[in-house]
Amino acid sequence: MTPTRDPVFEVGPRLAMGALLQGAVWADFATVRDAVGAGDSVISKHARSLEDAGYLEVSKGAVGRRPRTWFRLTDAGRTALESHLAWLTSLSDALRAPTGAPPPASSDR
Amino acid sequence: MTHEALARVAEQRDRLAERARLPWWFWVLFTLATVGLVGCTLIQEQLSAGVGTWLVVVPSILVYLLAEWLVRRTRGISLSRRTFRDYPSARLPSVLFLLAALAGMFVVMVTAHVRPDVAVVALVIAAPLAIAAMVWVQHAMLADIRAGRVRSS
Repeated sequence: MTPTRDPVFEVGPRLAMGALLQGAVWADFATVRDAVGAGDSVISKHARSLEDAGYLEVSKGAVGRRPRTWFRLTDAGRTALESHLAWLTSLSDALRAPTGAPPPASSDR
Repeated sequence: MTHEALARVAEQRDRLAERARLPWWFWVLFTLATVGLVGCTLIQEQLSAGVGTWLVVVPSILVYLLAEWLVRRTRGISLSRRTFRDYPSARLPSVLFLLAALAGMFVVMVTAHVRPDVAVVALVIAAPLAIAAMVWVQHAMLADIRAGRVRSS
């Protein structure tokens, strides 16, 4: 996997949402909202952006009579997130290195 | 900024791991199901004659499925069921769980009719071992979530 910067994850709580969803198969709206610590409208807005980028799958259903929304990272979203995290890690390592190691490549999509 | 972003990622992984922790009542139901499955032949022997082993096995499986269903319904997340594939640290404890459960079940099955005392000892050893291995599986899964090693897809 090539470490690649992905600007999609650099806006609002998208990186946090991705990090939460990375370890799960599905997470419901309330769980993501509570974990990320953002409001309903913020989560909805950024979920739509991630969905438009093809990184998030949104599924609506019900548990009993309560409507529920579930989020899941798509394969493309998972790959993009892993790649972005690898880029962040290598950048962080380069910044920490005492003798200026070359910074990782950055490619805006 | 980079460190901040990585710190937020670590924080979300911690929160997911906290949410993924199994509640105490799951372990109570899991213990009942494990004892029922490992000791099914022995329990059946102790019940009145004519009772089939399935009368112990089926309720045990139902108790386990109930525990799974309740966990999925209450914790707001769904984790991969492919423990062996998706949680690298959980492979060894998963194998140990299977070994303890199957070996225990086998010894209990072979001895329940002829040497019930041996069967009781086998159950008393194998069931706690299997449960301990499953607790280890759970710890390994949480460690993998925290470290970002999960390979869910």
